[in-house]
Amino acid sequence: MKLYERWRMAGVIASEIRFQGYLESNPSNLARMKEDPGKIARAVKSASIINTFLTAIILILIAIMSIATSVVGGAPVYPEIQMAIGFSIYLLLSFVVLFFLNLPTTTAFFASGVMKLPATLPLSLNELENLALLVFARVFIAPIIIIMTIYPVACYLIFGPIIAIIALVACAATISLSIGSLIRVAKWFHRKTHSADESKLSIIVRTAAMMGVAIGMIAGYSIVSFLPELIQFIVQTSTAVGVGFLAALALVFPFSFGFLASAIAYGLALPPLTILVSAVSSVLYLVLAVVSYRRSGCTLRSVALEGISTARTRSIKEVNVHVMKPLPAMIRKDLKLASRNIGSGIVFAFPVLIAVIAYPIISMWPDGGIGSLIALIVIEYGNLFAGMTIVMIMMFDAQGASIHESLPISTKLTLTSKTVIAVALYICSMLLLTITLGLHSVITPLILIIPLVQIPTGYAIAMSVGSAIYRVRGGGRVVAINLAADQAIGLLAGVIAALIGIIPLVGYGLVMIETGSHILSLLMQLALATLEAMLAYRLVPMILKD
Amino acid sequence: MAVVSVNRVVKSFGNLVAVNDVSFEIREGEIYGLLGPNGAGKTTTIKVLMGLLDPDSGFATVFDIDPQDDPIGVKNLVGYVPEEEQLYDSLTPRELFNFITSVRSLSREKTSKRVRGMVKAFNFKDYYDSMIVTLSHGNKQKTMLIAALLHAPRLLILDEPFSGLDVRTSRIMKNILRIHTDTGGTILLSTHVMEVAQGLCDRVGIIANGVLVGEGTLDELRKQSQEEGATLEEVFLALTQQEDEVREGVDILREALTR
Ligand SMILES: Nc1ncnc2c1ncn2[C@@H]1O[C@H](COP(=O)(O)OP(=O)(O)OP(=O)(O)O)[C@@H](O)[C@H]1O
Ligand SMILES: [Mg+2]
Repeated sequence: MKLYERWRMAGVIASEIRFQGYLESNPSNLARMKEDPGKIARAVKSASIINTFLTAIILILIAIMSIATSVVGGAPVYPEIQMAIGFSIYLLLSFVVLFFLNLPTTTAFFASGVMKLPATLPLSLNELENLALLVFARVFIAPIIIIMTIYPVACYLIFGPIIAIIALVACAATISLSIGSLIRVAKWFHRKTHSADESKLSIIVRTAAMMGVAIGMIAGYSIVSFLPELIQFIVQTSTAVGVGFLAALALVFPFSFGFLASAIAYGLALPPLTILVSAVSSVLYLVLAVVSYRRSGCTLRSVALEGISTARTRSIKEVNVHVMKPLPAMIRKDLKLASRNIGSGIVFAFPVLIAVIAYPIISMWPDGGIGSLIALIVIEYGNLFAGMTIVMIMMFDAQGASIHESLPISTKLTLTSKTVIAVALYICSMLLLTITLGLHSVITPLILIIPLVQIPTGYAIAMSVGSAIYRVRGGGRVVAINLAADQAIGLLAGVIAALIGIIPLVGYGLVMIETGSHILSLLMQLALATLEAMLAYRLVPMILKD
Repeated sequence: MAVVSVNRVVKSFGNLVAVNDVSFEIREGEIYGLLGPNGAGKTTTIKVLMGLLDPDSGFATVFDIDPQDDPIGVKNLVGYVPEEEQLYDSLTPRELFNFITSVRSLSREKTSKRVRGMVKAFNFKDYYDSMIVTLSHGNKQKTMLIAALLHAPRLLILDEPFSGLDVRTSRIMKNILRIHTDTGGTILLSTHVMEVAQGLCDRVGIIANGVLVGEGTLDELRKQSQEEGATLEEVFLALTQQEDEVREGVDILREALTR
């Protein structure tokens, strides 16, 4: 087969993966929404465009930050080190973005078995392997192109063609390594999450892995804001420890490429040992990247065609059933599903994420103690996330339509079970915000109570956002939603959550302006939050339908 | 007494009329087969009965409950195996059955006993703790069957229950259906396997293009189609007016497949 033909075929399979991914995570479309298949096709298309767009923006931002670090960034006392670090950070973040943004997609790729059809065509194993790799490449094509162009082009403009070529090669190597590790991890994760081994240890491993992914992602992105400190740190350490430190750093991916590029740009400003080490290890990583590319092909083929063999626990336990009350059973089912899906797990890191976002905002506040305004602001951030949280929780049981269709579960019960999880997470967020505020000097300890008083609003947000989604997408009935394919819902959730969440905060603010008393303001906030929760309890069931 | 009654139900998707003015009744204790070519409207009719789709006009009742008004009430009484197998992939059958038993508030002892019996009969013990995603098609089908039978429903609605079952299991399946009706239960099943329908169903309804083109026992249907001594398959092809199409299609294929 010609490359062009294969490329086109890969395109067909890639869009099939997206389509199946959408349907799989949105089975209610099979039952109810299928009335307009064109709508689904459009939703899938727009979702992948929006995803591409988001990835592009993230990558462009990273590129700008890295280039700024390479050339300007603070006082350029050590331009060669700045350049090396900027270059390396770009590679590192490209690695991170490619890896984390695509981990869920990749696990889906393995699960969906879409490569089974081409396997029936008269293609040699070799061709199939190439095809699998191409399909994979087509799913990743947009970020790959962006990674491979922005920075090399910028290097060409700033440093000239040689550096640009090095940048290009380094980017290609990074992509290969990133995708290689992505495939490995996705495979491992698929096996771990799909073996129903219920030992306590494996649950802990699974949950930890999921939290690790979420926190790794956050850390990856926030590294950008610590770039100046990072460079400062490296310069200081190298003067303290000696040239050995830089050489050691040059040994590590992706710094090898960074130091190599910097050495060529700035000549012998770097110690010769560092240059030597970086050159040798760059070649090494390049070889590794080529090997990884080859290996990925094999892994992809075998995984896509044969599936991953997941450990089957021999049943030695007695065949029986356990019974609990319906509501706890629903919650337990949701938590089980969540702990076995990498995309869902991220929601449990939301409270941490809110605290991570809030911390710098609070720290940036000018001296003189943290007042109530800043507390209100970070709580409103938390409200926004609470809207997202309930959407993510609704994504947990995107599977299981056949079971759900046959069970006498009222819409209200479903919403209540999701709300319980959402409220638990909201309480965690508010507690963490209290702690984060407490790490700073506040003008009065009463400030620390504001997040706690806000807690009833978490219930109102979850119920309102949840019922609004059921109303809009299911005519009042339970629907599963897929945020990746349905951005409009994300927006709706955000707006509703922000509006409901801000009412008690505004109440607090107004009373504060009028009276200047924290106690009275808190009482007002409490009254409004409780009122909202009660209204949600009374009114929401009225717009639901079974 | 009619357990299920469908009254002039119409359901369309866009400008496609999937079910067009269909009416029939299912009596207590009988096995009623819903037959029809692909895309005839069988699944759509069943989904209306389960309250999963609202009819455009007409209405249905199940045990005198209108599924449009009270789908929960219907689902409480019915055991339903849908056509698509969208199970909770990352749960095990054990976890799934625990969930269903809890949601339906069933008794632990009774249900455990039922499950043990079915697991034994279906030779399912080895898969009881495997994640559902790793099960074969037939084993997923068994999972759904057990799930539908957990609460000993008086009405079973099965959308193509025999697809993908091995010989032993479909034999057991047929016996289960018989036992179910012998103990007073009622069954609605859709199927493409004419031998099954002929051997198992007390009465059948034949749908084509959303219209009910024939209904009754095999004898009644023979009369309707004026085919003496015909098998159900022949009657079916006659009523759905596919005899000529089949002959023509075979001719075209014979030519196309000639090397
Ligand atoms: N959600 C939907 N949106 C649009 N069209 C639908 C939808 N569900 C079913 N249809 C169409 O309605 C018609 C009847 O479908 P139905 O699933 O009831 O057929 P069936 O008799 O069950 O067929 P099969 O034997 O293949 O299962 C078909 O033409 C189908 O394409
Ligand atoms: Mg059908």
